[in-house]
Amino acid sequence: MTTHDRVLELAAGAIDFELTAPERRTLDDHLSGCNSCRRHVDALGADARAIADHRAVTLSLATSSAILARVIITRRTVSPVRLVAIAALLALLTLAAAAAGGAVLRWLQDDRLTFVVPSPPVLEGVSPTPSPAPATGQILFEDGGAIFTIDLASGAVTRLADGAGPSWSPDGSLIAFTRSAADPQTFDPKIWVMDPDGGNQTQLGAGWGPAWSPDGLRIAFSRSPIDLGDLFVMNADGTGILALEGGSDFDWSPDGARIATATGSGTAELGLVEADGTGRTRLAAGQYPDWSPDGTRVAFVSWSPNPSIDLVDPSTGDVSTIAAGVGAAIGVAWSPDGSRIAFTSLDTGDLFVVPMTGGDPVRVVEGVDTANAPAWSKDGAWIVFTMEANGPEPPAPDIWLVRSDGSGALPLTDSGTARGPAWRPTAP
Amino acid sequence: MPKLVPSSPDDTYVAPPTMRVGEADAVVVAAYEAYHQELFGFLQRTVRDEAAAQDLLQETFLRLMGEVRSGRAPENSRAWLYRVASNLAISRGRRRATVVRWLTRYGVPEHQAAVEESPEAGAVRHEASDDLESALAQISADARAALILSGQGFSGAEIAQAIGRTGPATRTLMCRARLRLRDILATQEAVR
Repeated sequence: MTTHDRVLELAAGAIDFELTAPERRTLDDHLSGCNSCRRHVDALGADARAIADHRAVTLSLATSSAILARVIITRRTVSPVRLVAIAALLALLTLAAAAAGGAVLRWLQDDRLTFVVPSPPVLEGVSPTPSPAPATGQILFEDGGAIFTIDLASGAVTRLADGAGPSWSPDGSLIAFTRSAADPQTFDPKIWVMDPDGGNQTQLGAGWGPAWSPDGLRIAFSRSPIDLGDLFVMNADGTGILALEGGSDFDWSPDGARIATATGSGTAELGLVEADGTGRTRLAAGQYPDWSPDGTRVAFVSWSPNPSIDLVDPSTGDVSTIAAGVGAAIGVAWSPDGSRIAFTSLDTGDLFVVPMTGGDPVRVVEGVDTANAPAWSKDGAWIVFTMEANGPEPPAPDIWLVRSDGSGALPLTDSGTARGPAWRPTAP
Repeated sequence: MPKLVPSSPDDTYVAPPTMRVGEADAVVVAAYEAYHQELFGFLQRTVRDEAAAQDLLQETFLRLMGEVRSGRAPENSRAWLYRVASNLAISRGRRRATVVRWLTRYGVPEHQAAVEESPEAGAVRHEASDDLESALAQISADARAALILSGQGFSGAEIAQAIGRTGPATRTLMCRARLRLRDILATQEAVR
């Protein structure tokens, strides 16, 4: 490939992607001295604009209405729950991994994670590195319209209830969730609570997407899965509903006094609302807020000028960047001790952990589909997250588990419909 | 149950939020109103066939309805709709490409196979007045979808998500597509 070809490739790439600094230098240096390439690059830009400016055929009102009518009246049977938790295998693997001291997974040539049942390592005068403790505890998740827990020590999977969007109470003694009417023709979501074994299911009232306050006394929720820009708080028994100025992307402050919430998307604005409804302050432009465990900062994703993970001090409004150059980030989660932040990148599908002491983000899971929604174990040793298969069909998420140092990645489900994993908090 | 926060008389109480029966429909209708024309434009340009684009538009919103009714709805409905629409359009493109290859191999002339594939596409290809559309018709469905998404303001990262590839793979795909498109257009310009 000639230098000209390479430069044109960079120029074409720069239309949609951010170039690295050396790439940008190569491009600019060459263009400053090459008229022919400059003309070619201008033409590439003009082509891109022509595609954007091209007017497409529009649908007539009659056709458009007919399509909408068919969407509304078509009765779809919801696909049956197909949970295939690899439960027994999981229990076997966590035990075997501890015994063998080896990784339970390894990278194969096609760069995809594949199960490799561990065998005792062949040791040639080398003592095995001590294995970190296996993951323990319970993970709550949603799969195909039902709520499940998986016990990591035994591998036992329990189906708790029909529903979606489960959330642990802070002491792990209750689960709040959303349940819509069984008849798919009606849409009437209600917030429910139940015991961790699925018992004592109690309906609280209409609403969507509950999240407990840190003291367990209140529940924040929104009215609809589509971001209608609404946020409510109620007592944990469903009384005292209060409307706040916010959206469905929110996080409670550790002291429960305030809620960080982003409204809008793309140019989302991050704000702080008082949980008693007395006011709202603007914090920054960004979304996916996550409070530090000590409540002194809020981590969030900023999109401008380039995607980065930023921190904002809610008392001063000062913003600093802790990770940049990793593409469009989503799914920000602070480790329980506040020393690290996990996040995922839409650009590459990678899961990263960035230390708060400074330094580059560490890639924990690499190049396998799209990771999202990371959640830490209480000891900070493990991260549970979803991985959406990249393929010809719509998103097919499954739940994975990985050590926070990147070893021992393991799928917990292979249904293609599992999401929203959360580690059960333990009573202090 | 945890103990409850005593409610103070100063609290601003509002009526409990209610979801009326059929509100899923309302949610989907609102999304349809907002996005169906731009999605149809995207689909029509990607599959180059108006009837097929209508079918895919319907399928895309049926899937949104399925998600909302079963309690799993996308956080960003526009991005979700584009992602599903892209996947449907690209899958269709792959199936069509297979059919055309099969027909060609078994003795059906290539141009007839192309006409079989889509009368509209053939018409578009032969319309000399629309160089850009005819150039776009000559690249693969996923590359075409990516360039049109870019034209609709999506970033490289969002496009990667929509077409189900990694960022680096999408960058390579789009780079090659843009350079190829330029070559085709330059040849067309030279002919005239």
